Amino acid sequence: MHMMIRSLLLLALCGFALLPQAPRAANIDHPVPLAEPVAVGHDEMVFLFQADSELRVERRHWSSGKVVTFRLPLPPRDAQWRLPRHLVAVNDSGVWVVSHKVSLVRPNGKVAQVEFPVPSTSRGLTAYEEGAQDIAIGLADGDLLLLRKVRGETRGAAFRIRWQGLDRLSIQRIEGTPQFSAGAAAARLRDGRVLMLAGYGAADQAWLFDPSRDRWVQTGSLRLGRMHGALAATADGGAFVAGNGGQLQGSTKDAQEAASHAAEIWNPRSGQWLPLPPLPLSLRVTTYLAEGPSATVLPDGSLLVAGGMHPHVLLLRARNGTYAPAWQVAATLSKPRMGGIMQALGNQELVVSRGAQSTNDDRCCRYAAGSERVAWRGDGEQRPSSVGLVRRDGAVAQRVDRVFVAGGWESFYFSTGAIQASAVAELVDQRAGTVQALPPLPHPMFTGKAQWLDDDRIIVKAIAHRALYEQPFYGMDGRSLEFGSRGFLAVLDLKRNTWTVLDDEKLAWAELAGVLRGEAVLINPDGAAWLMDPTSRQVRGLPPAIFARRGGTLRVLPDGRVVVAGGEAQSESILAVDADCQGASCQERPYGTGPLKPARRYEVLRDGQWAASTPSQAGSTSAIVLQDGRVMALGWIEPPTNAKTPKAGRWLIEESDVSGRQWRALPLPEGVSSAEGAPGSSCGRSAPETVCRLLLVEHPSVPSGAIFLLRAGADGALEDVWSWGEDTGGWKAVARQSRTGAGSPLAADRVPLLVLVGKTLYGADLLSRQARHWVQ
Amino acid sequence: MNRNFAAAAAAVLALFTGHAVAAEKQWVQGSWVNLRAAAAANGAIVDRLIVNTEVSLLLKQGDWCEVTAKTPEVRGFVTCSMLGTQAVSLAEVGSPMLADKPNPRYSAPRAFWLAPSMVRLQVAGDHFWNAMLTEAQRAKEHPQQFDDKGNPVPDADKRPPPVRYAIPEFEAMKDLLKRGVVAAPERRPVLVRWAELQQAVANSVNESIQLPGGRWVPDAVGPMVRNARLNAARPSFFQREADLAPAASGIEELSAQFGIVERLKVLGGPKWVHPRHNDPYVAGNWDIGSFEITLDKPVLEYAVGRKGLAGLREWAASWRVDVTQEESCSEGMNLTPRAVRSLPDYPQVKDPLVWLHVAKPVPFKKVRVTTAARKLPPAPKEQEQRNGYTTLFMHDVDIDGDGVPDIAVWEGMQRDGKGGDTLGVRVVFANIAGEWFLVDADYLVECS
Repeated sequence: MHMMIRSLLLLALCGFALLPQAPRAANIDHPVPLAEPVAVGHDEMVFLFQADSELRVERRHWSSGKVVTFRLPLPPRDAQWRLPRHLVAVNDSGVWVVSHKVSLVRPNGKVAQVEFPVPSTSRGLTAYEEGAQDIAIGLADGDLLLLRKVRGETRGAAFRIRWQGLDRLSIQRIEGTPQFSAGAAAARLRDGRVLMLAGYGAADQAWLFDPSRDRWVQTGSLRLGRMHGALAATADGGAFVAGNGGQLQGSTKDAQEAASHAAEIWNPRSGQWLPLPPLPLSLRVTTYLAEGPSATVLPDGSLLVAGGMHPHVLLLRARNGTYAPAWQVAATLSKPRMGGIMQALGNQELVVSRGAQSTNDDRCCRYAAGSERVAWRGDGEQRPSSVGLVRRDGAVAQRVDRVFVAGGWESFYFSTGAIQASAVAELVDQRAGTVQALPPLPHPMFTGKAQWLDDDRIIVKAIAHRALYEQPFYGMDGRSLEFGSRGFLAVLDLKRNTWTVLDDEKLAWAELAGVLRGEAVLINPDGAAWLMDPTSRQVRGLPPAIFARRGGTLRVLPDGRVVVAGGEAQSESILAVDADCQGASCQERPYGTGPLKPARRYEVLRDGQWAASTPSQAGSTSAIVLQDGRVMALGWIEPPTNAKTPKAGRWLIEESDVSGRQWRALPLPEGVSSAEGAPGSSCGRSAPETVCRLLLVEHPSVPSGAIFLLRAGADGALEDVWSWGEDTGGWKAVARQSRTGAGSPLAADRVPLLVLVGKTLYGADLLSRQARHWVQ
Repeated sequence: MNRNFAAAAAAVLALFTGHAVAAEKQWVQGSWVNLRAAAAANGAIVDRLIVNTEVSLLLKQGDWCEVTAKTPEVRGFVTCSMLGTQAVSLAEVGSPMLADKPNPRYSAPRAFWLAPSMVRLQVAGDHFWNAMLTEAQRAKEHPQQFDDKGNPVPDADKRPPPVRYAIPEFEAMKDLLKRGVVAAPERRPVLVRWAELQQAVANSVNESIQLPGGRWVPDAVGPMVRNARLNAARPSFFQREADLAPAASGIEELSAQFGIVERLKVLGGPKWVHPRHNDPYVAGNWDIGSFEITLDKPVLEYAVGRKGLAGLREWAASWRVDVTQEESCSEGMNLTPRAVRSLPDYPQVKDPLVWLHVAKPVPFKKVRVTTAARKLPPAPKEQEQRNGYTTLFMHDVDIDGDGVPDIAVWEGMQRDGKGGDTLGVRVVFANIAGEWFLVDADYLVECS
């Protein structure tokens, strides 16, 4: 066994040596733009900055580095000393700057301005929301189309603003404008018309504005009503939209949030919207300062979306007049830019400007300064770092030097808490040091497990979660989930590069325990268990486990035993005969009852019968099933509540014998107090929902071989790592965390992969090199 | 002395003014009828006859009838309209509604005298509050949060004291209960036949399930009835309904079921109360506020443990009502064993599987409990996912060891929303003379 571990570690080391260089990424310094910048073609971006006592319009050319600057007077500030919101639009007339007045900076630097007339009613122009809900489009005829939403009303108004020569601008209201409201989006199409998505109140309606006739006509309805979608015009005269939220009224949460993983494209010939492949990562933004993600089109017609809560850029490659079957993660920004504006600089390079980010002290939010320029190779099928490994609860399965990674979730705490699931699937080749993109999972997966069926097939089981108030998810309620996720079962055939979905409603909540003679072993939290043949799709019931259990470890041992251990489980049972069993041969068996508490018993399925171990002393927060069936458990013993003199709780590591009849206490590492982390921060109460100060983990790549004990600081950041010596019967300190380059610590509960190379222990995304921060 | 004189005088008077009739058996129809010394509205009141007092009609004199009664042994005049040739039944006058229509003959005072109990006394008290107070006074005692002019109700210290005075009939009612009565048979606990329960479940739509006898059980019982079964019953330990009473029985039910005298002790008069979610009002039943009902002798509670130990305990039953105490929600199962004193030689049973009241000591201290279980699949609806049931345990209790179940207990384990389960509903049946009866239905209360 140790030889095997050493081999694997060596392979990992080789992998590092062979890592390709990361693609170019560069930060371009500039101040925080006052308004969303506007991309012009594939080389120029127009910014609006606030200088000391003036506004500065900059036309930046990325290729040459040339910057042309114009100046405008600083508008008056409001009572809170804030500047009004601004919008920028560009066309042949120049750069349009819109706030409570409209300015046009002509190409020669001359400025024309006009103020909106003071309205006669309170619901007039001054009631427009400071530009917050405005959309400005530079029309092909040189005029500006301004769409303004009126505060408190669902119907906005549209204006045409025209340069009248010299410093004069005129404002003309466009009659017959359809209803549009918050969440509207608009883009100028290749033929000069403007496509507008109506937003709140009519979120599936799309309208076309013909500037030559000042007329609006309705076009095909969106398949999914959505607000603040990322909209971009395509080279063939159409447009596509992706991401952000559905309309807030009427439908279920799942339906509302479906837009976050969906994209659709508008065909200019038929006027109809057609679905694009689903987005493997959520493109939903729910934070202060950012309303929605952004989209653009590469020179070769490929589609690009970014500006979500995560830092990834998704690419849908155009191929022979159509599109690839799946989006790929083409690039990753150094930090998320929520709502950032993208510009394609070529077919394999883009720049992202502005966007909202958390502050240095992790609070929400501020606009990002500077722009980030990233390039990538290929279509994103091969990438130097893993997207999935840094997520929580992604499915990870290793076969020799290939690690399959898929799904997982990320949480975001900005204005509100949000949890987003991933459908990204990858194959990490440790020998080559690369990450190969696989076809995305059939659906986004919050939590799940994967197993190799053979050299060419991987089975993935996603566990269903409900996005409801009462459905807890890692200490948060289901509102934080972007949608109720499906508990699907799917097999990836690597030869054919396709997924086959094996959905079965009754398996929705089940977890994959492992593979037994080619069949998947699935166990429900309530104890129900099944065998599924992935080829015939036949599902056979196994005897149900005695106790309901959440979290914990499920494992199929080489001899066919199935073991479930740790997590939270019921602890009481009632002896009863199966009510449906007829005849004298019916035997009593225990049925688990009661609430879930840190588990003290584990269960083994052998010869068609479940047997429970004797209880351990401590309720185990983390448990490891060894290959011979022994269970190693780390638990917290709650202090007695009725003791006359207060007693502290304590940590205890225990190991069962093979039969499960006896437990023995194992030592804690030297220097670790049994009261580590007490009081109030233990995992004694609810292991899956608490950051544990101590955590027992095994190397997921080397199951039942490498066992580590992790100690986290009060903030959850990993501090120390010890490895268990089966031969010495003791712990050996192997690593102590130093800070990452960016200064952010690695959380103890995000250690999907640990690799010990020489004196360095790598964790998390070992291929990103971001994890090389634990040094012995 | 006065009574005899009045009767003699009346007889003499009848010789001159009335006509004698052959002594005819009649029954008093009014609830509290004045028996007068003379056939006149201003005749001296010699006694009061309660409804259904059997009298012999001696003489009719205009609207007045001269009667004699044996209990009490009196003679005098009552208005003839207060007499009838048939006794009044509780069915006629005891319910404000009959066949879903208002019952014109309903009379709370008459119902009390026909079926005396504390509950009937409370209803009668409310009747007098309505009948004896002016509308203006009643409005003062049940004010709205805001009056017609929008002024808020007066503060507690400025609220007027309730207007109460002694009403002879109500005083007599209280006196009866103070002296002690066995609660009327109508107060006996309702035991529902299995077939009736099945029918009621089939007829129910989501809400609580209405059973014969005006009893309700929570809708949680529905899935149990649909998914569980009762083993065949033959006559065994319990022979009559009166052999047992549900654990949930109130004091008056125990009094009525086991024939134990109950006594009233009035602890205070009506009081102003201001519930959290309601307008303030004067709480009480006429001039009774807080009170206590006690039974003359303790009741027996038979408790069976999950492993077959059976204990017998006794409970000095009492029911104390503090009219100022607002009802608060307490989470968990409604029912807890109430008896505290174990009888000698019986084992202590902790966390019993089932307990019920029995009329006489059950000699069996070890009984046979057999359990069957049925796992219930998650219900498809989201709501039921959360509140649905995981497992149904069906316990049969054979008390006397004859191989025939005497008690059946169903326990429905309810999903707790966190992956585990908890006892959500418990249904208890008793085999009475070979037929299953629903005895108790207890369920989990969640306060919100």
